[in-house]
Amino acid sequence: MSARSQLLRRASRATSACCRGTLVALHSDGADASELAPLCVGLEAELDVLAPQAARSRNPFLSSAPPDDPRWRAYGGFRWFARDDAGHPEPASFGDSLWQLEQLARELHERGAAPVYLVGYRDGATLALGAALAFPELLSGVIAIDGARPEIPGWSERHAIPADLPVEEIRAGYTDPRGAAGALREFLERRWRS
Amino acid sequence: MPPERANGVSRRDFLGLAGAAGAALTAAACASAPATTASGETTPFDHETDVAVVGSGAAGAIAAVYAHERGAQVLVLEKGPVFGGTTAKSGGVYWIPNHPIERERGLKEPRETTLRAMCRASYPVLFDEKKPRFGLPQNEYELIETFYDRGADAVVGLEKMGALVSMPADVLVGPMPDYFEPPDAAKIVDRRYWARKPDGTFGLGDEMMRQLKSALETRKVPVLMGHRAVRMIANAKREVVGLEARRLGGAPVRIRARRGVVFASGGYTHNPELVLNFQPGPVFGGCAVPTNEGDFVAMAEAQGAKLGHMQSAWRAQIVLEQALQFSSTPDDVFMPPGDSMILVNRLGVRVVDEKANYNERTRVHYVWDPVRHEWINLLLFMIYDQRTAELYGGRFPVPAAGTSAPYVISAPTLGALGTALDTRLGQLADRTGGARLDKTFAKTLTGTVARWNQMSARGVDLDFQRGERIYDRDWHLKIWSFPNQGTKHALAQKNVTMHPLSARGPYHAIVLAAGTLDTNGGPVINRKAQVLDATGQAIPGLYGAGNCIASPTGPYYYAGGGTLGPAVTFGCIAGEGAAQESPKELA
Repeated sequence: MSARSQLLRRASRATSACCRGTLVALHSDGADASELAPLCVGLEAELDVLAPQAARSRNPFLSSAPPDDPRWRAYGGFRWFARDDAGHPEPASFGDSLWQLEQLARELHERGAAPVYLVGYRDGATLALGAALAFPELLSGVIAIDGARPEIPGWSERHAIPADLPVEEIRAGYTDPRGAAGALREFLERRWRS
Repeated sequence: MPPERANGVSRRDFLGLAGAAGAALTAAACASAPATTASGETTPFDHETDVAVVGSGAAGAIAAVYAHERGAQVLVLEKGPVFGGTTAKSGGVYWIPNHPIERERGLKEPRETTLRAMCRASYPVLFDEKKPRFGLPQNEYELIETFYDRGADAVVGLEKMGALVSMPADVLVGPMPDYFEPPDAAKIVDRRYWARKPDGTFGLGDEMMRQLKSALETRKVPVLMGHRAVRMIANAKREVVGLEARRLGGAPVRIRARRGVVFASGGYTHNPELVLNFQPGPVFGGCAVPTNEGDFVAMAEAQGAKLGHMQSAWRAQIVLEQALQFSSTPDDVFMPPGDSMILVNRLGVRVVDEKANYNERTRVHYVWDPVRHEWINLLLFMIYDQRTAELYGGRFPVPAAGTSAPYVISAPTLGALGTALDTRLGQLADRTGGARLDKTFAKTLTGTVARWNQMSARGVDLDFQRGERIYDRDWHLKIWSFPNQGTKHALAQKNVTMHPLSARGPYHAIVLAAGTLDTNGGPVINRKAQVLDATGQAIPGLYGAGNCIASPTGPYYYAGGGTLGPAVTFGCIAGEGAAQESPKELA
């Protein structure tokens, strides 16, 4: 039985022989796999950068229209999960995305592409923090840009991020995730030094 | 190797929280409780209202708005944590005949002409235009007639109340044809509508549900989230007078509904037992929200309801590997994108017009081979070349340029593609009844592709007439499969849906299986949206609309919005009807 992640993804490979693992970049609500490429520029020299794309289209009729397509005026991009009235992630879609991400992390371990680092923006950050709660043993670091920890009554209070997993939450209100590129690089370099 | 996990897979934690853990609970609750109850009077109710509505998708929310408009006190129950059901993740299009906008635009199609086309599409074997009711049984005819007569009123009424502002759906890419496209159609008549956003642009399903939710809030209609209806409460006269629900944690909640109960709780796509017992063959999943487990079926049966169209569904193909991981798929394959693309079965033969509408096309999966003793089209393989990958990449399920997807199998030659495909099928075999490619697949596929290429060069599909219907061409080019700009490929000339597969690889394959938007069978209603018992009498106080009831248009999907059109119409009728019932005694 295969349990591979079914997420569509965009990959850029480290060119050097001294690959330091894989950075998995999780886009925000309404974006797609290309969103965080500018944030990760320069990191490809040292890490494989893998950007999966949420499966849930915000517009089920018009998946992946080109950015300038007028069909996007109504909706665009993809989302990891829905939210309820209280702003909590809806469990079924959040859980499905988290499960897909878990399979991806396992895949990376199996093919020797670990350590695995996660960077997420907005809802992607919330998903990354969910991953830190659900399967921290597969991760070597999480950086969350403008995302809150997921609050799912009945689940999140039963989980805690272990103290030995480096997690950095940036809450600077970036309107452009590129603004966090320096912080991301510093975070990774600290991991590499330690 | 990855470290071992102590707690299994994270998603399983969540499915329980989402309410999916209730299968056992429903069975127990429904089986143990006969309809009539004297205990109803002794146990206090947690809520009292005139009309209780179960489900917060289009049918439920509209029933609630109309019940309120008719002066009733209304309460809505939603099983999931998110308002709006499957409607909120849908395109949000509703097909409505004879809307005033249609008449303003100069279309003066006589009532009988449209009704005839609807009856013929829904029940082609019964249809006889010389007979009364075009040959349809009384109730089946009246439901279609009521949809025609009342649909526009329902939509216009919502607009007048400020509950849902609509606009024609042809603003996007011009008028699109219906799916039945009668042979005598003089011109394309687009009867699709969708929500208009406050800024004047169009909105999809989540905009539709945002407006309806806001309408309920304005009217102070309470919506109980995370409440799953598990049992109806009836009095000694078998009138439905209330409901029992369960909250997420399992606590019972009793609701007194003085005038009536409206069910609009969705189909049963995610209930494996009902799928097994009622669908014509395997259904691997679908895009309905995961809470659609057919709860209404057992509850209505306990009240003696008559079931109808249980074998039916709004069908679409799905990516098998997505569905095997989670039956509630993110998206369905409404049309396989591309022109240099064919679908073949495990023998390597084409079996269908790949561009036919999804509801019809998906039925080809249910072909039983009596000699091989198998569903010969259980899985279909979408085979395409690099041209389609580039020109149509990004149209689901073909990945956009620069991305890849694990469910895409690629190889440099067609022969190698067959080998890789069979290896993948081997990995999935424990969940597909062991489906593998036939040993003749590679040879047959070579011949199939050669024939396809010959036919494509002439632009004529002698086998399945692909591209002959307006639907095939327009929906291919404008919606499901619109081409990317700036590639080196020109559109196919003679038949825009057909292009030869390249003589050179790489080639790609995606495994498709039968899925649904949702099922559309359930208790039968009459033209007043009252649920009928086995003898055809209305069960007092019980109404239904949407995908939880036997589809008022039968198994037929008239056009984009063929699902939501009847849901809007009968949601309105159900809400009004329940509100106008006289209050019923508990005893």
